[in-house]
Amino acid sequence: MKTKKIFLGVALIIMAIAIAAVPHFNTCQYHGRDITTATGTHVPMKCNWSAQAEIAVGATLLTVGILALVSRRKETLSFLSIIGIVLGVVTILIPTRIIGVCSSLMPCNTFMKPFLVAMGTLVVSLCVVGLVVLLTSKEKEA
Amino acid sequence: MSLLRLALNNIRGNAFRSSVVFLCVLGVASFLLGTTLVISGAQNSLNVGIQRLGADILVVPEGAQTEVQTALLMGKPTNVWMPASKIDEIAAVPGVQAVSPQIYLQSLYGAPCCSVSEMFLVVYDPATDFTVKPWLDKELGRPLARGEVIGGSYIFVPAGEKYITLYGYNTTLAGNLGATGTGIDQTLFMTQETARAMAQSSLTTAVTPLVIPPGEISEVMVKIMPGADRHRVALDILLKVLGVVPLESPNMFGQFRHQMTGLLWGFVTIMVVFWVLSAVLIGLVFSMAANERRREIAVLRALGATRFYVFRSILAEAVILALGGALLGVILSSFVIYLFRGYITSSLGMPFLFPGWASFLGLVATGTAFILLTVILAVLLPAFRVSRMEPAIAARE
Amino acid sequence: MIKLKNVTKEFNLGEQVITPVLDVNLKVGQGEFVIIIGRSGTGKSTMLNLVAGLIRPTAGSVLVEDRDLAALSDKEMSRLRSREMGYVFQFPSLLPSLTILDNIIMPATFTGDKGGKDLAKRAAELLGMLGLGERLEYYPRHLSAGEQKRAVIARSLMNEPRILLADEPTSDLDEQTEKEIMGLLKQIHNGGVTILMVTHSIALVPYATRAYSMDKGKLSLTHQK
Repeated sequence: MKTKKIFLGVALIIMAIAIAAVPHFNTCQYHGRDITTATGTHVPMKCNWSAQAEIAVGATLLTVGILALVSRRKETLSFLSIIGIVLGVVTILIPTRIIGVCSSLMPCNTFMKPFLVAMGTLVVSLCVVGLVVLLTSKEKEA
Repeated sequence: MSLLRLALNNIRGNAFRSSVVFLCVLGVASFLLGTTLVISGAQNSLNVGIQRLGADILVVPEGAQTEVQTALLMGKPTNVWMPASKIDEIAAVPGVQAVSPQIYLQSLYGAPCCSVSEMFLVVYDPATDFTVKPWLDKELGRPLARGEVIGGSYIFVPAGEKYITLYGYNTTLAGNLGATGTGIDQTLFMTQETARAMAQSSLTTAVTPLVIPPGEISEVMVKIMPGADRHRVALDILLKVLGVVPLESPNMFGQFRHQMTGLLWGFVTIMVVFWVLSAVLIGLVFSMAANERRREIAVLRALGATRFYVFRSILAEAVILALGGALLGVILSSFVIYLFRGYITSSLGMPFLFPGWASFLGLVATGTAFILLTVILAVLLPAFRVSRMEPAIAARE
Repeated sequence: MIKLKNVTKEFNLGEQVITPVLDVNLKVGQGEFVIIIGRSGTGKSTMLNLVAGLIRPTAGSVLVEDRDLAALSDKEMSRLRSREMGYVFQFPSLLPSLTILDNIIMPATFTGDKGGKDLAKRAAELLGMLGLGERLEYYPRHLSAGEQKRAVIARSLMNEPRILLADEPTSDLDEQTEKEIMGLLKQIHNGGVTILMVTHSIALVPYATRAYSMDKGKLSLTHQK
């Protein structure tokens, strides 16, 4: 159980950092495909805002991962897994529904969005598996 | 205690060893299906794209074969011209049933209308066209009116706008063609009437006017008569019509196909190496496992298990791990490729269209069966050897 | 019930040939409790394995219930082992990935018995009789050496065998536990089961109806009730 807990915690930390950082290298602005006004000001596009929002998600998920590493009680770990599931879903919803990204062939749509969907799915899957393992385990502590 | 339950317990009993086998199988399955999907996706895209064109032969200006194919394949606009008089010459070639000219244009660089820096514009002749007409008949039930356009699957009206503005001329998007994974998805189709109106308007409304050279076209779509030999007709066009080159649809995108074949062989080589190494590793892991569990097997034999039971129990473990790893590998791989299909297209520079359900499930089934067979073969020898061992000797060692 | 006729077993270890069993003749009748004593390496376990059909003799014949084991196919031999014999190994022989209950039920798998709940009930009863009623869902690693031995004995009785073969059942056990295990075996014997046991401990001879000593592959009678 301890090994599984460490695996979950470390995996969440790594994914949290990826979710927070990677989108910033795949926005249209980063690739020079953003809108610039006549005065040379860069107009932030939807993908920029999505990337910003993912920092918040990543930071929260990082906290969940760290807490998972230091927690021992099954109950606490179960709650953290549930929070992880929610954060995973939010990771997916930000670029697809809540804020969105730019149109079909832009870099944010071809890489950033699928990356976040994949990461979110991975977070949800890991946390669901973790929750199931916790609930079916007979051990009291991890 | 069923064989299945015993196998599951044994898998759980040594998580590390089981994980090694599982991950090996997952890796091979993912890679196998992934590469197959990418290659078949590219082929699928080509086939759908060619079908969408609707022509048996494309006749393009001499020397413009590559540019035209790149335009159709990747949506990169091109300007190629030949005299409109070629239309009648081509129509006169024996075996030709119908001809329809098209003009290739492009949007202004960085136009706000569009998802790409330069959009590929195709002007067709409604009186003779057979590329766009089938779609119009099916979806719209009428021809395009002046000022109306239809786009490939990636074409859209900018958010908050009603029109797609090209060269200062407002066009209404009447609909989108189905996805092909090729450059057709980034192409806008309009009638000659709309193009002329746009060119006229652009003189006063556009930053740079749209110029359509009078008496010039970019290419001619050719439909051959039923039963005619396409290759014969193409040769005749080449011989009888000067300054043009016929491209037979099935042979289109030859350079790309050649590149794809190279890529395919590269993938196949890596896949074979990976597959062989995995099979050897799995065989070794099971050999080690069988060795470690000699005493356990001796006990099973003492309890009344036959040699065949022992053989089957080891095989059952391998099959469970193989099935699990293969299915998960396949699901992961398909999911990732589906998500990143746009990225595959842009980074590899090749068209990609995710195959239909029937083809996809066929690929999955074939891949899984192949992996299963590989694992079974890898495990056969260790399973056989340990089942033939004299139990008392196994118990001692 | 068990007959060994001029049985010899040789093992080839490279260039060397060792003969742990040399021209042995032995009869074990129904209801007997026969103990074979000897030091380590004298061939006792090899002889027991010959009787169980886990190895084949180099010469001579082994008959169990008048059936020549050499004439039986692997399937027939396995069936004989599962239905007629119980085996107690010297080493810890519970399957580590199964619970104690599942371990006890295991032999029934090979008789083709698909009794399901009845099997679990019988296994639980056996474990209860041997003082392990509270340990059904435990794994072998959670049991002491003595408890594991008792569980192995319970397993060997699962199919109600007529013959019990025990290879050093009390080795690695303390005196108290040894007495308990031997008491159990005596009880089983009193229930009509024929027991053939090998051990290095002379102190266990009084439990037997007949005892032999084994030295350099040969048997000699030392005790008879």
